[in-house]
Amino acid sequence: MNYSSLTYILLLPAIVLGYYALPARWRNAALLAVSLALYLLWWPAGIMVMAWVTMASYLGTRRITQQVDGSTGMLWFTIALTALPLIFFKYLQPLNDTITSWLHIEWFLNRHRWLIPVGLSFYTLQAIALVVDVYKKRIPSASSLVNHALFISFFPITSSGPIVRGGELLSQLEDRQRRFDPDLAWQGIRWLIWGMFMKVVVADSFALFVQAVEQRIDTQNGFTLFLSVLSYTIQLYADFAGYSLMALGTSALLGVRLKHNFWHPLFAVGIRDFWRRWHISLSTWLRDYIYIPLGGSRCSAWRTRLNVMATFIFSGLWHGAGLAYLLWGAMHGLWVVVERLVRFDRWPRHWVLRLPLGLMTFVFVAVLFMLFSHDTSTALHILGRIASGWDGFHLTVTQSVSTLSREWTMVTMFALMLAKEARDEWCPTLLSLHSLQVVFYACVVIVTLMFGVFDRSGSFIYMHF
Amino acid sequence: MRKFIYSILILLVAVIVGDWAMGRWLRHIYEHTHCDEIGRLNYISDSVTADIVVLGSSRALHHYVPSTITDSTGLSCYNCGFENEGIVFHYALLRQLQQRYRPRLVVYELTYDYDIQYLSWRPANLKHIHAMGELQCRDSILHSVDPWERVKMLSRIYPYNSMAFAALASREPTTYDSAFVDNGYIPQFKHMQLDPDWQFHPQKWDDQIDTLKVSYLKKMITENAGHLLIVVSPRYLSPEDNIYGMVQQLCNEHGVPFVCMVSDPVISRDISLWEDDGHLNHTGALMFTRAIVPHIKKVLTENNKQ
Repeated sequence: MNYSSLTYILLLPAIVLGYYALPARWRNAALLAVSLALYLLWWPAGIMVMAWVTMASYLGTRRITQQVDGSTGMLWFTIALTALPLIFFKYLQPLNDTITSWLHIEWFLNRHRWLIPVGLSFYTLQAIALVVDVYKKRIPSASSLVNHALFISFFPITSSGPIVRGGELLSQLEDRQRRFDPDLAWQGIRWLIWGMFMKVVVADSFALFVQAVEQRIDTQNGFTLFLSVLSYTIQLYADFAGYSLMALGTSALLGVRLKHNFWHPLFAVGIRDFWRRWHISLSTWLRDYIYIPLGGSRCSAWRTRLNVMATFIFSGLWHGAGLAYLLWGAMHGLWVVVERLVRFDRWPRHWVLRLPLGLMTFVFVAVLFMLFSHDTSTALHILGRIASGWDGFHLTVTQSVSTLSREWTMVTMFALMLAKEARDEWCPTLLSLHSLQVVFYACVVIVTLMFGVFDRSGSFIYMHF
Repeated sequence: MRKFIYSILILLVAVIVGDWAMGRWLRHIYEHTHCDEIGRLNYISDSVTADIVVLGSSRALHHYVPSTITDSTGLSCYNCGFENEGIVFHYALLRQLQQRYRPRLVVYELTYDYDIQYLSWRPANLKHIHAMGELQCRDSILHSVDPWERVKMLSRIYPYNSMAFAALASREPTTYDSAFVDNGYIPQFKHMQLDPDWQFHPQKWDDQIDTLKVSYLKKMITENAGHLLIVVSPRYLSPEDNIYGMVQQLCNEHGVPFVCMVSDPVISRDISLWEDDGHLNHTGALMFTRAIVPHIKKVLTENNKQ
């Protein structure tokens, strides 16, 4: 179910009220039933894959808890079983297609087109993290299959994360004394409203502009294409961060406190800083389960650089199996290596320097995100047109009053989003009076009704990864 | 807990009051817009009384010259074509017109992708239907497209969603209001230019049918039989196409004339008549209108006999 849909908005209060009306011992089971039912609405067959990941990680963690010698065999076996569907759905099929097209052969796998189950990339990493954490005795395994299954299928985060850890979510689900927390619930409502604004107003407005430009790439000048490239990154950010906020908000209403997945990445200065702010749950996952086990930075300088590259290439391949994703990860890794070499973190952070460096970071990130939305050859074609056919600072998309008003909406709503983010980043106490907050969020609802894209609102982009 | 409940209540009240106030303001500026698309829609809804009305997407808007039709038939004509709009919108617009008066003839320009084909990225555009406050069947049309529309329409703002800037910007005349506009028809004066390495690729239509669009096409045909002419105007270098067979059959069943000129041997092959491969320029539009007038006259004569 799309979390920005009216169905979900109307269903959510019923779920929350029903949840708190139940006796504490039934709540997790009820939440599991709701989570599975909502997942079934997305793609019924996907539930089998989720069941596989749940059972493999549950039985694995139970077995790991029981073993006394601490051998790694069971750990690797469990990780392999848990990751098997992800490897099959995400990597085996593209690999099969590539090899069979090279060899010009046809066999039964070519006849089937397997769709990647919604959220598989997210809940698989979540399950693997749990298995490792249980093995390292950072947390105990789940006390029951219901709690473990709920940890994997917890509906606010199933489709696009954040990728939560056992210590963060499972420990809260195990707590039977969880009660309605009014402060957390109010925070949750604010996150829901702002997340909806980011998705339906900002992301979907930018999506309309990007679509309009990309329908006819060859007729656009370089300036328009450049704006479209930047717009896609803003769309991606508002879409994914909006979803993440709605996930946090829904969890908060259910009494579960989750960590932020984004922290104003548009203000990042440098790629390392960007990755501290963008998809934080994935960055920290990669740090804790790939980078540090590889040796992290506690080894030779060259080995550290290699570890950075390996981590970012893994990140690229997690997003998708293809040369474009590999390239995307490698370029980010390379830039981080360069930043480490020039000790970028120690450069002065005066705003005079911060502004151009921040803009450069944004442009670099945006250019690489083109590899998400286009195949490599199209991305290079667009870059070529930006470089060769700039043709002044005017837009070449059709300019009617309706498209102009759409562009106005895009710019003003982006400015509003940026203003709030600047306030949260640099002066979080400004206008923090509770009554002012209530009025502000009421205004956000009104603005969402006025400018939201309701008829063409698409699914969340990260659901496709 | 008390603070939480108060916060929620204040939030709800503020949203309801804000929705009511902003909704009223948006309605006011929408209804008092006289320029561009919104002004044109207001004019069609409130003032058009022409004997012949032309409906359809941009191909209707730029292909039918009302003055030529009036000169040949002696009847007034208004071009109600609307950019990027399909059958659901035009059905609603016709119903809105028919609440005021009944045109003697409706010419509907059929566009396959807007009126028949299923396009996931181009759902029925409800934006302008939301704002048709006087349309009696508005709710049932909206409900047939999306059952949740009834709930959404409880908001006063929602009918004018994403129109605030457009309504505010439509204070100054645009191409819709220029001196060249002839009873709704907007002429185009450019000539199509082909790159030296241009090659003709006939448009391949997907045969996946949108049942919602087809149901509205059926409604338009059945409810307006005897007063309706369905036309497919030419496309540049379009081959003979059998994709309109279903429409032909539907029209035959209800005695509605159907004229398919998509691959007209003269117009569709003369590049000087085209603005782009889907739209005629003014010269092309004049030529096409003269070609369609005999069909219009024929329908009018048959109507008179009845």
